[in-house]
Amino acid sequence: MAGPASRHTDRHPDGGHPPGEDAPGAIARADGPAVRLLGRSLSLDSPVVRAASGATTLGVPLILLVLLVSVALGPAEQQVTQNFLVSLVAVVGFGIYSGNTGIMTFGHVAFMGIAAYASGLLTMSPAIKMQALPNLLPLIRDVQLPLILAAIVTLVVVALAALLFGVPLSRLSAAATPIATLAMLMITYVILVGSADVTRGSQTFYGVPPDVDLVVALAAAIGAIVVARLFRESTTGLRVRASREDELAARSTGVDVANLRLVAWLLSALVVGVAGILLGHTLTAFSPKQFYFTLQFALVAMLVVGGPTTVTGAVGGSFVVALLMEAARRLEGVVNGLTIAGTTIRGVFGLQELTLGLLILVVMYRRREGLFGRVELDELLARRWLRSQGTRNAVSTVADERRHP
Amino acid sequence: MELVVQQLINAISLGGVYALLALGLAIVFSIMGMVNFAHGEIMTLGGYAMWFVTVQFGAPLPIVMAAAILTALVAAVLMERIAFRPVRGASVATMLLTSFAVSVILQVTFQNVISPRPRGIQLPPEMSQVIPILGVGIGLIQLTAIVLVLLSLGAITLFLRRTTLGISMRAAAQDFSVARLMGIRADAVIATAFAISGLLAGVAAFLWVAQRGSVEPAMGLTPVIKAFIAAVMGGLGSLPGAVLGGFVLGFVEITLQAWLPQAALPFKDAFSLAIVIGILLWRPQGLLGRATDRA
Repeated sequence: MAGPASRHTDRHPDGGHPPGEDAPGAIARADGPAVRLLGRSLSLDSPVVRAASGATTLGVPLILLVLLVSVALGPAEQQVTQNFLVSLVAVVGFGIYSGNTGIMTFGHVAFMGIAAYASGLLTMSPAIKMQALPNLLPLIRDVQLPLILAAIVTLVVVALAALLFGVPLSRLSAAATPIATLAMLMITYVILVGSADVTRGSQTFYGVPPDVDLVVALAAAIGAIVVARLFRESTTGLRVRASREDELAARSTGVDVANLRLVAWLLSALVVGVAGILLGHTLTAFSPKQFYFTLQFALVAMLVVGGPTTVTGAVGGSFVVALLMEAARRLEGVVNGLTIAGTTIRGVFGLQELTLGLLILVVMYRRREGLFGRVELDELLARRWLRSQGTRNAVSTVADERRHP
Repeated sequence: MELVVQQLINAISLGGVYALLALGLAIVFSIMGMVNFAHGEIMTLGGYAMWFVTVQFGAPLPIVMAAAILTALVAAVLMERIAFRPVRGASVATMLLTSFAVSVILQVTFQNVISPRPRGIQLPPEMSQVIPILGVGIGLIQLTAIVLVLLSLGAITLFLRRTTLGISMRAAAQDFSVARLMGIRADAVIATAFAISGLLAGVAAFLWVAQRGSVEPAMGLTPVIKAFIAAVMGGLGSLPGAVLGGFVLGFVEITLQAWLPQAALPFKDAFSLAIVIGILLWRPQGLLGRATDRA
C-alpha cells in the first residue's frame, strides 16, 4: 500500500486507502479525467450514489415508522417518536466524528446546548424576552427570526464554538481527546449557567416557540443520514477512517490526520447543532442541566450499542436504545408504588441509566463493533443480492467487500 | 502576605487532592492504557465507608481514615477483577466505555441502595481548628491534607523505585509486552496498579469528605474529571506529569477564586479549564509528556 505515489494523495482521489479499508474498484481508471469522473459518478463507487442508496435504505423504515405512529398511535407515542428522531440526528452527527475517527468524545451535547439556547433566543417573541430576560442586550431582545433563518445564524455560532474547541483538541492524542471533550462540556455548562442575563442561568428558559413537529424532525433525520453518508464515502471521510484503523499507517501515506479530524469535528458539531435546535423547539422550556451528562450518556450509549463505525449503527442504535429507555421509563412508573407482600416499593431511581450502563457493558464484552457491525445496511443488502445473482465479477464494487475474519 | 500564604496553603491542599487522583489514573493508564472513568466511584465508596463507620460505630478519626482507604483499595482491585478483565488489551475507546458504564451503574446503585441525597458526616470538631504557624493561621484540615499528600506521594515514589514490584511496574508502564517477556506477571502488575490507584483515591476521599462534611452518589464525578484533565495537562501516562498537573490545576483554581472579580466568579471553572486547554494548545503532549505519543 505504501507506494511512493501515495504522497501525492491530493491529486489522486483514490490514493491513500488504508489496508483493510474499502478501496473502491478501479472502474475506468485508465481513461481521461472526464470519463473517469462520469464513470465514478455513475458507478456505486460514487459517494453520492452510495449516500443516496444508504439514505434510502435507512430513510424508508423511518418514514414508515412516522406514518405508522401518526396514523395508529396517540400523542404520547408521537412525542416519543419525535424525541427519538431528534436523538437520531444527534447520534448520527456525533458518529460523524467519533465513528469515523474512532475517538470517543463526551462533549457533543455542549453543541446541542449552545444551539438550543441560540435558536431559542432568536425565535422567541420580544415580549416574552422582555419578561423572562430583562437584562438582555436590546439588539438580541428585539430580534425575532423565522426558524430557518434562526437555524442558519445558530449554526454559524455552533461552528465558531466548534472551531474554538476543535483546534486545540485536534492536536491531542486519541487517548487524551475524550478527556478534553469533558472539559469542553463542563466549560459550556458553566457558561450557560453563569450567563444568567442571557439564559436565565440554572432556572428554566421558557417561551421557545414549538416550531418542530414530527415531519420536520423526520426531514432533519434523513438529512443528517445523507450528510453523514456523504462524508463517510467522500475522500476526506475515507482518509479519516484510515486514521482510525491505523493512525501511523495513514500518516505515512500522506493523510493529514489532525486537520482531517478537525473537518470531521466541525461537520459533526453542525449536525449535532441541528439536533440541539430541534430539541429546543421540541421541549420549548429547558435548563442547562438538560444538556449535560445524562443526555451525553444516552447519546454515547446509542452510538456504541448500534456500532459507531457505520451510519446504520448510529440509526439502529438510536432506535434500540430509545425503545429500551422508553420501556425502562414506563417500568419505573409501574414499579414505584407497586405493593408486593404488603410492602410498597418507592423511590426506585435511574432505571434508564442502569439499562444503558448494562447495555454498554454487554456490547463491550460480547460485540465490540456494535449490534450492527461494520458494514452499512445497503452494502450488506447489495452484497447479498449480488451473491444470489452470481454476478460477482461483473460489477466493480465487489472490491468494496471487506473480508471479515 | 498572610493572605498569600493562606491561599498558597489552600492551593497546595486542593492541588494535592487532584494530584493523588490524577496519579492513580495515570498509573492505571500507563500500564494498561485504560482511562478509568469509574475512578470517581471508587472515591465515593471510600466516602460512604467513612459515613458508615462514623454513623454506625462513632469510630475515631484514624479508623475513619483507614476505612476510607481500605474500602477504596478493595473496591479498585475488585473492579478490575470483575468488570475490566474481559476488556483487557482492547482499544482505548472500548476500555473507556466499559469504565464509563461501570461508573453509571455504580452511581445508580448508590442512589437506590443508600440514598440519592447527601449523607452528612460529623468529624471531630478539632479538625476545623486553625493553628497559628509563623503568625499565619492555617486550618488543621489543610495541614492534614498537605501532610497526607506528601506522605502518599513519598511512599509511592519509594515503592516504585525501591521494591521489585515497583520497578516491574515502571517497566510495564514503559513497555508492557517487553516487561512480560522479561518474566513480569501481568496480573500482579495490573492488580497492584489498581490497588495503588484505589489507595490514593481513598486518601483523596478522606480529605475531600473531611472538608465538605457529606457524601452523595455523584460526589466523585467532579474531582475525578478535574483529575483527568490534570493528568492530560501533565502528559497522559507520565506519573510525575500527573502530580504536576494536579498541583497546577489546584493553583489555577485557587488563584482564580481569590482574584477574579465578583461578577466573574460563576465562570471560575470555565476559566480554569480554558487555561488548561490553552496549555494543551501550547504543548499537546502535556507538560511532561513525551512528544512521540504511541496512543
